[in-house]
Amino acid sequence: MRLLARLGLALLLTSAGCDKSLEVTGATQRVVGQTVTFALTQGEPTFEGKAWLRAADGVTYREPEIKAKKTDDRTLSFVIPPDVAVGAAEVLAWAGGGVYKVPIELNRLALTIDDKGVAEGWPLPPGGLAKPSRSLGAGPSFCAVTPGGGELVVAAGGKLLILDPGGELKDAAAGIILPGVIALAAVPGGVLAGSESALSLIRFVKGGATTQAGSLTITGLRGVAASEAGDRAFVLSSCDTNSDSQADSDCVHEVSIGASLGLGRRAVLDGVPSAKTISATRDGRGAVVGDSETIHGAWFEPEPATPRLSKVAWVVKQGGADVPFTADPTSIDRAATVVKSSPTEVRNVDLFAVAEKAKNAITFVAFNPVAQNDLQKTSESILPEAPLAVGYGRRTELVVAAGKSLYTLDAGQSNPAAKKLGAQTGGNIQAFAVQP
Amino acid sequence: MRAFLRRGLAALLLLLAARVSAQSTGQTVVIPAGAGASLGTTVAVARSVALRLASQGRKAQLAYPAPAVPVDAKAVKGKDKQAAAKLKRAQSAFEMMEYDKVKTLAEDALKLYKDLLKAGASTEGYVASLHLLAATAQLQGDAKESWKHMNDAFLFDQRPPSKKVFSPQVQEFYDQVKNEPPRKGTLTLSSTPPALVFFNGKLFGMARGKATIRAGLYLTRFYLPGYGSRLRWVRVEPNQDRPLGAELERDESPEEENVGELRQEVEAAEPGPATNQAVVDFGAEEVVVVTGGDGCAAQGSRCPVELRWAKEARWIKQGKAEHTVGRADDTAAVLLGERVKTVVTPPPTDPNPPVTPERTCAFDSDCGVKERCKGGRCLVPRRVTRTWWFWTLVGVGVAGITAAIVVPLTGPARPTIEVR
Repeated sequence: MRLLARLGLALLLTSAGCDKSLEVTGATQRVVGQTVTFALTQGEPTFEGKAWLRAADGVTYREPEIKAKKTDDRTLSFVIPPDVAVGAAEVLAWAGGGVYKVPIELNRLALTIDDKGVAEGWPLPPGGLAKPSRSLGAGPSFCAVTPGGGELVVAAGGKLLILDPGGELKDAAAGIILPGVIALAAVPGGVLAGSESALSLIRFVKGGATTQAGSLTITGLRGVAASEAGDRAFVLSSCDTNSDSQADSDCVHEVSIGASLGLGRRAVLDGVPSAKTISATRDGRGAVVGDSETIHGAWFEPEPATPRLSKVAWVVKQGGADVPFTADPTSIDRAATVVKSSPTEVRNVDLFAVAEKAKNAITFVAFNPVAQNDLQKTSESILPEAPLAVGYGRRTELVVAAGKSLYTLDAGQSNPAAKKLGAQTGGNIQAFAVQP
Repeated sequence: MRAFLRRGLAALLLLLAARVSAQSTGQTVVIPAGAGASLGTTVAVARSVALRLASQGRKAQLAYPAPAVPVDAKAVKGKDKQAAAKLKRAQSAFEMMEYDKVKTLAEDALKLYKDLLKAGASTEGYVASLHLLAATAQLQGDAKESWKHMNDAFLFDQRPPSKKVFSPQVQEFYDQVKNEPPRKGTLTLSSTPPALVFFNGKLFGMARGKATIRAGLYLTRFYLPGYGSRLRWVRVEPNQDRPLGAELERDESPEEENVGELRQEVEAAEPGPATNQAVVDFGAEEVVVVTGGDGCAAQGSRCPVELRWAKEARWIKQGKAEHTVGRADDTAAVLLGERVKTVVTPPPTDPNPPVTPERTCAFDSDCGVKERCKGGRCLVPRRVTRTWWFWTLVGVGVAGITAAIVVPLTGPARPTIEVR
């Protein structure tokens, strides 16, 4: 009898503990940039079209920020926005004067392609998504993620592929034949692909066609970078400044992006054609270039002004003094947020991280040309192995690819310590990107 | 076998408890919905209900859907544009690191925004100005000013400063202010007639007695249905007591429609739109409504009160009690179905108490046939069927089994969302 009573109590608690008002099924592990669809397969009331996303950090994203859209009374879709906190989130979907609260889990992926041609998506902590993976075939490869995070663009084996990071790296749009790519910069709905002698603008439609929208001839192209809005870009090249058909300098070319591409002014950085890495400011008015002797800043004030240049020399401490050294920068990226430029000051600046192989270091430089304080080294972190590529995730979360491993650092800290992630690729990483 | 069952049952109960606690992390709002003279009584009882729930580890908060303050168009005219322009210029100056300019402009904007809020206008510029002033003071090394501004902003709106505008250092400072144990000050409250008092839009209770709250700047509002609201900025200083009173004038302003609807929904079988609205308005998961019966006046000695608790579009709890003025905590306990702590007066001592022979023992065999040796004394064990909890558990068990069988068969098809 006592046992019966206890079992009864247990059953009562079971019925009280269950969420009787709503059952959620399907894929609740989602990634940044992905379109999520809610289908009300049973019951009432139906959707009103209003939906909010409440992320793990308590920040609420309203309809415009998540592009919430009601297809019909029983179908509602929205997009996971960039910069969202990963982890347990909740979607509030208005229905019949009330609200459905739907729990989902958000993930941000670091995407790698190793030298065996395997592309993999590594969920950054605390994401719980099963790692997506796809074989692309061995050979040189390059990759970039669009600013919204919804598409991964890969150049490998003479083809340009548009992949869906949240859909197990399946094709998100048609691929095209594009040989000779050595640099990529993704923009909303497209990508800038650079070869040794040309820059191409490729446009794609999710689930649809991919076409070449324009191109420019730029000899000696080494790198390309675009603004956050995708309206401006910069190309780094080894250029010929004295018309003797020999490259003698590093140059940064200003490019406007519209229906096609337009070539603007050119800034000559120095007299040695050696730089290989470039990144642009958020507003697309300036670029930072990692070179072997210096880090260059180029600020393209509105025309007709000539570009303003600044630089920071690579130095190493020897006997308490700063001594110049020849660096080997491999990658550079810009944080998507406003950050500090020195331990005592806070400014609206762009923070760049430069991966450098000779010292196994990540060097952080602040670029604030509006305040006439163009380039300033802020801090440095040493890694246990040579960094190959860097990519900013959310705000100041920096992910570094080195060898077969991934590391994370908080660029908002001074000289941040690198933490190794559990990720370990099958071969050495040769292309790398992080969702914003 | 019995031990095995016990262990299994314990594991099941633990699992259930974990599940229940995991689901009850949301906010519970307690809304006093008494009409007319019974409003004060329901506020007192609702406050005690909220305190009781908070003491049980719930995130419970007293709330009242008061109507929006009518905007004083004359006082607002032109100020909103002026304030926005000043704030914009202050933000530009902040980007250019012209901190003295930021300070002047943001202080001007803040003054205008305070006037606008007091005049009933809704604006986010007030908090934005405070964040700018806090960040600027932090950069200029003025710790006292930066703390004051960030604390004022936190009291008004607990959202952190914009991460697009302010650096991680400012965010860290916000966290520091948020998590630091607050210094408190006291306000001695009074109003004519007795009215509700809100601090920064949050209901505190009736405007009587003392309110000891986190020090800082508050927009206080005195409100009573049928009377015009009184708004005033008040700075609560740490460890200081200051009076805060108001005289309200009749203006026949209507009671919030939602409160009237809440009273009607309390009588219905299921919560309705007003309860759902409260869930959305207060960001709550559960809503507790406290109503007072007709003739329940604060001056009366006893009056009926009722409680209904809504969760996931259902009433999950109901309680009724006779409230005695001054004993709101007891009333709250009865409404929540908890035991009331009563002071038991000892009975008069019998000058010649009957003497019960007490036999000592070491083993059960030292006692009688129906007795057991417990604590060195022979006692007749109480049969389990004579215990109060036995039949309670039987009742709960039968009800649980019945509910588990009947509800899935008779209930409406529950909504199902497939995530694609």
